Amino acid sequence: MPTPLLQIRDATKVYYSGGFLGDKKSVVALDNFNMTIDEKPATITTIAGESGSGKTTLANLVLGFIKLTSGKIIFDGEDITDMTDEQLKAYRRNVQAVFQDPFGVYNPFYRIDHVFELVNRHFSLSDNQSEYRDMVEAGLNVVGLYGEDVLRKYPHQLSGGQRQRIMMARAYMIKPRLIVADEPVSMVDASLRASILDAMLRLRDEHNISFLYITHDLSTAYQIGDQIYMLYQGTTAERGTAIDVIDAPQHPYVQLLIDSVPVPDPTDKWDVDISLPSEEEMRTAAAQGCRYYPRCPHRMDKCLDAQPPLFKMEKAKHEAACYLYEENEIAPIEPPMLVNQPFHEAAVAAVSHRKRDRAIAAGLIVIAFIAGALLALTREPETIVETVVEEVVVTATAIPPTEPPTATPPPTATPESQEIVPAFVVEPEGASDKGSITWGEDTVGEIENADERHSYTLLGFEGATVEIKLITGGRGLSGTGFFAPLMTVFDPAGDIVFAFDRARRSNRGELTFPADGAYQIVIGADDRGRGVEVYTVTIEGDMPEPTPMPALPPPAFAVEPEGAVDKGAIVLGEDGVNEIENADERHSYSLEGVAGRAVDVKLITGGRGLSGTGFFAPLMTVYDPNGEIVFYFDRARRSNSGSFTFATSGAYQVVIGADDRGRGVEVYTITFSDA
Amino acid sequence: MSQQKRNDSDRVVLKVDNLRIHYATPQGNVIAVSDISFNLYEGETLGLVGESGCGKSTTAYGILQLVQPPGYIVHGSIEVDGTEVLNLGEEELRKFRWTGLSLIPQGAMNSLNPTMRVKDQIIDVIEAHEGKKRDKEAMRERIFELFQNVGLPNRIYNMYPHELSGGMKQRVCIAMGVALHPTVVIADEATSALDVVVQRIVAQTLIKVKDEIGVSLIVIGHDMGLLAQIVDRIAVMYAGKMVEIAPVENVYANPLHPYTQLLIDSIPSIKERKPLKITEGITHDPRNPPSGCIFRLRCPFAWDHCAEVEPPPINVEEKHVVACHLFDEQFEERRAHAYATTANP
Repeated sequence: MPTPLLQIRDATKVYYSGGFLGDKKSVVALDNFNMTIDEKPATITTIAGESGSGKTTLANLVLGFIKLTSGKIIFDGEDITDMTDEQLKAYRRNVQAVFQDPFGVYNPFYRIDHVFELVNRHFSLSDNQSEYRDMVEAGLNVVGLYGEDVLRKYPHQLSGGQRQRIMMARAYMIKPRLIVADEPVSMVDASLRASILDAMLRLRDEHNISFLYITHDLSTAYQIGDQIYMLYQGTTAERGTAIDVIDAPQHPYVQLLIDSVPVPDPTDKWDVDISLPSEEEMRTAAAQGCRYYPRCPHRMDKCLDAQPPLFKMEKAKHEAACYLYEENEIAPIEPPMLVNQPFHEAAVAAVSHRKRDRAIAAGLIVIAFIAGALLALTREPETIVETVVEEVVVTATAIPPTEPPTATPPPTATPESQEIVPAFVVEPEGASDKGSITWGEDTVGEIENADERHSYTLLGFEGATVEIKLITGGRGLSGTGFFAPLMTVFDPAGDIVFAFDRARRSNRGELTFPADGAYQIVIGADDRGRGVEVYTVTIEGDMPEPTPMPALPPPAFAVEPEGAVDKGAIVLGEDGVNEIENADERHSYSLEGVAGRAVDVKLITGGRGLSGTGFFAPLMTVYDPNGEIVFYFDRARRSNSGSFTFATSGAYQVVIGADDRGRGVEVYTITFSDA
Repeated sequence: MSQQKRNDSDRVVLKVDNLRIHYATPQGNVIAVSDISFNLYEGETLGLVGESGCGKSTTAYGILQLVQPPGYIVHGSIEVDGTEVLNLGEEELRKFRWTGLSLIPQGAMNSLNPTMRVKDQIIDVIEAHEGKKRDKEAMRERIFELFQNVGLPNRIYNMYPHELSGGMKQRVCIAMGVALHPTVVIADEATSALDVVVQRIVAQTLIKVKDEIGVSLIVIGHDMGLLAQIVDRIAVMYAGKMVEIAPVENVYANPLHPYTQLLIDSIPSIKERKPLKITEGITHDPRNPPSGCIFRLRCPFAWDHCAEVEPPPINVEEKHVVACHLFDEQFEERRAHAYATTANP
């Protein structure tokens, strides 16, 4: 018999509170709990119960966040209670977690990419950047997402369902054998839950990852669960396959619970009103008897004597802890199976092995980087700039101005010292939460959002010198083909007073403000301003009558028409690679001399992506001169690459970001001549 | 709940007409509620559903005149028993809340003051509207009666909120909401943080109190299962628009609007295992909604017409309104075809 994946034996967890002078209160969160999860096939084991039933305690125990009071948790034959840090790290490679709140687990300042970067670094998952990216992409694809749709977004730009699937993808990247999912769908709309549940099923079926699925939502357990454990006050009231238990519950508590799940059918309404006994009664639940006694409609004197063991029901593996079934056989508790060979030794070794390899690789990467840099210098940039700027820290240091500000009356709120300057808040409503710049007492201002143009009216800054530091997160710069992230500061006249550019090769600099007025900061965009949104900024603080906001200087770039053509040029050129960057557009091309030519098509959706459209795969359709569809990506394809051959020459239309009925499409016509 | 009567009244107690609410952002106004109109009849329980961000809570806060900046009401009319709420002054509005309109807020269990005893919080609400009461004994009787209405034991009279369970706190909030016998009570996700057994008790309490005190109720939620159990009619919102309002039996047995169908389809069942129906959330930028029908970007049946003309509300039968071109008589053939090709007509 193979070693089970996870065995929990007589697990008891007691929380103590108070007790400074002997008045110790204790709460038994988990009481002699037993569970086994087999290694193969992978299963979804549901732990269900009301709040306070011990579900989350169990999850935290399995994750090693808290220690058992007594009992054993055995993973792959190895007791997890006394692990060293190194062993724990190896254990975490095998057991990953997905939590309830898809809003709280992300750092709002970082792009989604950062999540993967961290896990990659922590577990040394990949040897190089391209391996890492393939890994991330594979993980995202498993949960029905695409890297180009989500990686460069901020958490707030994604739906709860997408965020939760990214957590699944993150866990998957580590290739664990067990994922503990604590209420992963409870904070997500019902209509979006299916995508998360689907991701769980795929991980189970295609990648052999088991789940400990903690929930109070029985309907989702019924839809995807294999085994189910119904907990009541830290004990198993009933267990079996999810279908057996929910279709025919045996324990009185489970019967009530399932009867209370609202039926989505107005013709099948609850027919009895239920009530709970008073708090006192609940608390006086027999110390050694059945925990459900105070609420049970079938209670018997016997129930007060001892806690009922699990009795076998008709169906295999279906068991209920209730004396109503005491004539049945008592379900045996299998003895735990331990193996001597620690499961994690190999994993620990693998980690350190990788680390050594990486050290060797690092030297090679430096050489490759320099070579690549030289190459990049000699080449024309052909695509949109993809800097990975994650945050910019603008540090206003205590450098005093060369002369006191005179251009405007000194603001009353501005102290004499230049150290404390008025607090500027990126406060046009919606922008505040992402791009708040507080140039205040702490003298540190931060702008987190790349791809945005921020404008600040700066008063009392004339002559002030600030230090600027650009911090890039995520992938770093080596992969982008740029030496330095780009950032440009325009003064009120629209002139560039400061820039990080390709040549600078640094992320630090100093800027002295030549005058007061409206400054614009463009981050994460190239000097033609591609991919930039414009914000205006109001000033907060006890400022004197602020000077009226001067009109923004014209952007130092022209993108025509409305930012479209510049990005959307298709060059069916010598190298045979064609790029169309703009989604949501219909492009029309007159192609001469293309008959019989085969092309590879790859759809990269960039920033906004299509993930929000409700389509699984990005959609793209190519119409031939007769209006017939000759190529398309559809929902079923779940891929973003393919190829086709031009049958004739003529005017082809390419529709991106829309389905074959052209929904959501703005039509542009682009004149094009083949090279 | 078997004793729950069908609601047949035709008297309109709340009439919302052409209500529009925006949230101002630097990139433009987010249209949270877009020209919605509906009636609430006397004694009726109306469910207001839709996914996160569809504007259901904003609608409720609009009705209560509690929209916070940067949100603001662009236009519309809200009449409660013939009183135009939008014309009320600050003081009138203060009096009108709790007596004309009251709210059981989202996460009501955290909206009680932790430093005040339960009795003092309820007395506070009553005295704020009816003036100081001398007769403490009468007040106590009145509160005990309220407790009885919502199924709370009298012993909690002197307790603090932290001594109560989640379900009890929720019921204290219900008691406060109905203390002054308002015409309309709005329950905003009043049960969503509770587990099923407690949720059922609270939902039952809500309906029982509604029948006993004779208020009309708007229940906001996204749990279609729960709503099936407690409401008379359901109003379905999508991205600020009301797409369908129908008697609850029609919505579940025969949803008409494609979005309502999607909602009904995605209810997880404990009766049968079905293939998962995967959808994404609201897809467009709320500042810049698509032309024509709001749902056309996700609609499996959309055609050119949907992009050009916004579907008007169409009365398909009494108290059943749907905003979808498929129910326009001139497109009957298309409807027949569309529904023939789906598994769930």
